[in-house]
Amino acid sequence: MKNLFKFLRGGVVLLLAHLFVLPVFLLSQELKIIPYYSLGVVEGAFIPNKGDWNFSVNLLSDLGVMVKPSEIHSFIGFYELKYTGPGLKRQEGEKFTDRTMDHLVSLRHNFLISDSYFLKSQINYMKEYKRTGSNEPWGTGLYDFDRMGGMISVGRKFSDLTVLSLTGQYHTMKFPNYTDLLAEFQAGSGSAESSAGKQNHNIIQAGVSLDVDTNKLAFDIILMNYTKQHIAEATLSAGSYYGSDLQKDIIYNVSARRIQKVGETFTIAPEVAYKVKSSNQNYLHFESFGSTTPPVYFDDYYSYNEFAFFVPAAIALSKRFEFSVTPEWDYKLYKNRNPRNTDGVFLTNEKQSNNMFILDTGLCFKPNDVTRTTLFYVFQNQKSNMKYERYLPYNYTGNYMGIKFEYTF
Amino acid sequence: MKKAKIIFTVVACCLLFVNGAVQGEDFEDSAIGQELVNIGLKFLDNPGDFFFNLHMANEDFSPVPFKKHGSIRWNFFPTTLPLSWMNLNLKVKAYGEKNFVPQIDIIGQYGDLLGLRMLEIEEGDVEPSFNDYSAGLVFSKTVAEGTQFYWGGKYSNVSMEVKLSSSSEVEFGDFKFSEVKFDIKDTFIFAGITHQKNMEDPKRLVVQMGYGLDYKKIVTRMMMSHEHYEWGIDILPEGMFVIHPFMGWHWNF
Repeated sequence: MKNLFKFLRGGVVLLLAHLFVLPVFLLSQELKIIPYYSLGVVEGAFIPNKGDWNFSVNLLSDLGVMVKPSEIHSFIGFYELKYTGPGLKRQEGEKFTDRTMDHLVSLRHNFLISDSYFLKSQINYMKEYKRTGSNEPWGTGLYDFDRMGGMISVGRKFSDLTVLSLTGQYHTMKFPNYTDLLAEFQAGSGSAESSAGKQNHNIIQAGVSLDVDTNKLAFDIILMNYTKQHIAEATLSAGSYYGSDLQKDIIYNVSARRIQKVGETFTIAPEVAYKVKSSNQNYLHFESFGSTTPPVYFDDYYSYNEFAFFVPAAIALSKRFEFSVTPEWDYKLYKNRNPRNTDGVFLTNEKQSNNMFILDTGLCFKPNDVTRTTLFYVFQNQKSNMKYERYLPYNYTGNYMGIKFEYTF
Repeated sequence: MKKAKIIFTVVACCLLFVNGAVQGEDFEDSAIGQELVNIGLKFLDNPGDFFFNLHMANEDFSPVPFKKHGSIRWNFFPTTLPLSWMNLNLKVKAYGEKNFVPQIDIIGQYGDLLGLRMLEIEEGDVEPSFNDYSAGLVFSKTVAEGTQFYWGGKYSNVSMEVKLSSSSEVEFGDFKFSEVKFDIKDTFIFAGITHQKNMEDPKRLVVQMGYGLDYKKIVTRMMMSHEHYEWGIDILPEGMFVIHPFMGWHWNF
């Protein structure tokens, strides 16, 4: 009976998948239809100077279609399945062995209001599964999340080379498996429910971007409002650490980029980005799990400034071969967070700072219009005055090399 | 013990090197030795997953080629050789592409582990059982000359039960095997592209990515198919072996 059910379920899924794709071809007699398929595979090995070397694999499959019923309307349906395997991480707070699997579905409508104005609207849904352990089944990760929301953007073309866009986005982020283990432990088993959902938040984003020829200037404000997570406070009564205010984060992003062609074969695209994150959340440091010693309070623990600079450059060696190199510098300075020494002791006279440098090089072979094969080598170095690395790496040098295959139609 | 050797020749001969690795203390401490031990432990933790991944090599859910009505395929590596895992994959074109209606293919696959049939049953043993099959539908549409986009769904099942009496237990480093039992079923959805550069030349490239709804398994295939011979790799990012090379023979009629 169970097998029969699975057969039937498979049939229903197949039917739905077919019903989704078939109308595209049914309509193709009258509409402009542009299908899109892309498959990317990255296979390599990373060798950090701390921890074990390991193989890494990343997979990406995109499936999309653009339907253009008239000159002023176009619709784009898109599905992406992405697997990110173990490897050197760019973000602080992740282990090299973490893996993620993402499903992304989006539907976009582009509307050419007039010769000068256009409107883009989009709804999207994303599901991310995250595995931090080798035996943990997919779907049970603490940081699995669902993101749902939409975007609307209005733009004006001042000329063929100058475009100004205003964009607004709203998304909800839900972490169905997340729970505050410490809070559960402290509150007892009867109150476990109150510790769930503390990562859930809403994201409101507003941005403006200006494109002038091959130059781009962008500015974004992102508000992250947590729906259940209260802020930690210095001293309340014993056993009570959180105040009545909910956590709110604000991020300001500004970036500028220029794409410059030098001759027929060389292209360089330098980009600078500056980010300011401000959070009202504070940090309570417990000596150990279940410790009876009162926690130490650290004010404004999560606010930081970050500056990044990239210089992607590519040179066409021939019609089929291209060599690319991208140096990247990233500096992150916490506003009030103290680093820790190797024993875990907080150094109260310093602020934590992380410096990262990445050099990404690749030799790309394009035998035809649809396939690309790239041999790549990445050097990554991160330095930080945070020396306590019992759980996460902060100071390391890593080498990552491998092969990337892409098929795009 | 003779029977036990047969079983492990059949069910895990590609892991035999681990046996040596875990017994050599110095080698075990080396990076490669540790990696091999990890692979061995991964197999012990979930042997069904390993067999299911091998089963993928027996399947071919790419569409029947242009101007053909069907296809018979036999995957000879790494299943028939070295594991004695015989298999057959059959494709039938149920509806040819016409105007806007896509080509529809019905595809099925069946396999059997012949090595298990050779076992002599002793008192206290459970008769070994093995199942390997899959079935599904594939829709394909020509999107450019020589290029087909395809999508579909399939149901796959691999199950096995081998229980040894205490006298037949197999020592595997510090571990003892007395039973292998699993039953893995999953429904996959997938999409891919076939690309034939020259319509007069049957050689074609197949790329495909699929997703299992129950186990959330991602499988990516890149395959080069010639007139009768085909080879390629399956990439299973969470598998015991991430890359599974395979070779097969087919007849398109």
